[in-house]
Amino acid sequence: MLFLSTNSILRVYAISIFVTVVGTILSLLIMSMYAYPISRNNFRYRKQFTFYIFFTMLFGGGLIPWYVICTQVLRLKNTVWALIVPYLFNAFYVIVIRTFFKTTIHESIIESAKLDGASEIRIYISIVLPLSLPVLASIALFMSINYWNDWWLSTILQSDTTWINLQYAMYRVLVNATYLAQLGGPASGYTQSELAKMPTETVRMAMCAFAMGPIILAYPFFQRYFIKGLTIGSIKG
Amino acid sequence: MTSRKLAKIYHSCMILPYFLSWIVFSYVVFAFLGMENGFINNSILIPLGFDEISFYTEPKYWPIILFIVNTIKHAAYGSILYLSAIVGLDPEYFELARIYGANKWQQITRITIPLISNVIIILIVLNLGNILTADFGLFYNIPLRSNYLRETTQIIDIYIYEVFQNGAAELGKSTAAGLFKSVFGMIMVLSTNYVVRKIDPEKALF
Repeated sequence: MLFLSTNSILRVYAISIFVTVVGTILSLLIMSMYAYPISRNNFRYRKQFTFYIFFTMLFGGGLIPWYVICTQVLRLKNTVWALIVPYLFNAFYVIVIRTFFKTTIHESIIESAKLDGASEIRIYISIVLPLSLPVLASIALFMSINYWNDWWLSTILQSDTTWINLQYAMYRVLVNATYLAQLGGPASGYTQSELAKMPTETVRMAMCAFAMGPIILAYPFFQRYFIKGLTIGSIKG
Repeated sequence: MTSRKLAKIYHSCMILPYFLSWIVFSYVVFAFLGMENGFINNSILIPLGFDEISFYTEPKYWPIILFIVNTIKHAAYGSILYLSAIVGLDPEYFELARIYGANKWQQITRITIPLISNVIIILIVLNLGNILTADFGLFYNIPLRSNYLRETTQIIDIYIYEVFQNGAAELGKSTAAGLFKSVFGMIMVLSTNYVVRKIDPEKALF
């Protein structure tokens, strides 16, 4: 992509927004559903399940095994899910949520709900989740920043430009422009008319401001959650 | 900090870069260092009568550029840990020091730093554990993939990625490099955690 038309800017913007919203909601749901059982003392295999995710923080297979899983097993290549699924589960955040569940939600609340006849799912949805809104808000903030700022998944899992997000499109525009400036026109293999369509530096900088927009606007409202989130998460225990 | 409101504004401005992606940073850095419209060349060097510097073809400037950029992005994030340690100190120490006539600088060097030295040591040790884990985004985006800069901007993660992009024939090589990095990283994390536990068992990760 040498040049971004108005249409394609709107498209990559929409993709970024979709990925951020859907990804944040899904990941919160999945991570808190994993964190809840391993926070309960009467779940027999909680140690094994905790170690199972903790180990992924210590050791990973590296880029190629990860890529093979994403493309061959999950079949993510060139789909919009490629931008969402790989970040859905973050071991560190799961442990943060678990620690919060363990320390703030008292056993007796769950006991009394059980006496009133609530099922496990009911307890999770109507007692545990509302009580842990502070930690969920912090994690949601971190996850949405992650999704919005991501360019790596588009780099590696999208081989055409159908499902790339805003950050990656911006990266392509800047790198191509610099590359062309170094090569100097015709040697680059692009035709003269294509070169003429290349955005000027002013346009590129405007795009940059456009991409920063949502974060700058949302930032003052979420700042307190950010600081809280940093101090909330002790992963010990 | 005397004025709470002012402190809050400083804090907000410092943390903001943490929320911006490396792509946005690469645009900003380019706006500073670029040849045609770059701020440093056109507003500082030329008016002062120096020669222009072509930053994107000169490897020797990059270690310091990358260091500065990384600090701008991560300084506030790192400072929060220290902040919480300093807030936790007993204010009586500072009151007593003021009564004895210590100025701000003396208070910092004689009271604050010795009291939070444990936190400082532990953060240094923990960062040593991640020594091989460079920030891929920083090294990949800020130099704009310029071929001239390879000498000083190539890291193991980018090597793995580039060998991988070369195609199926070299997949083994790339996988091996990735595995080496993982094993080395795990050994480093485990051993630094061991050291941290020796210094202060409370601060160890596990």
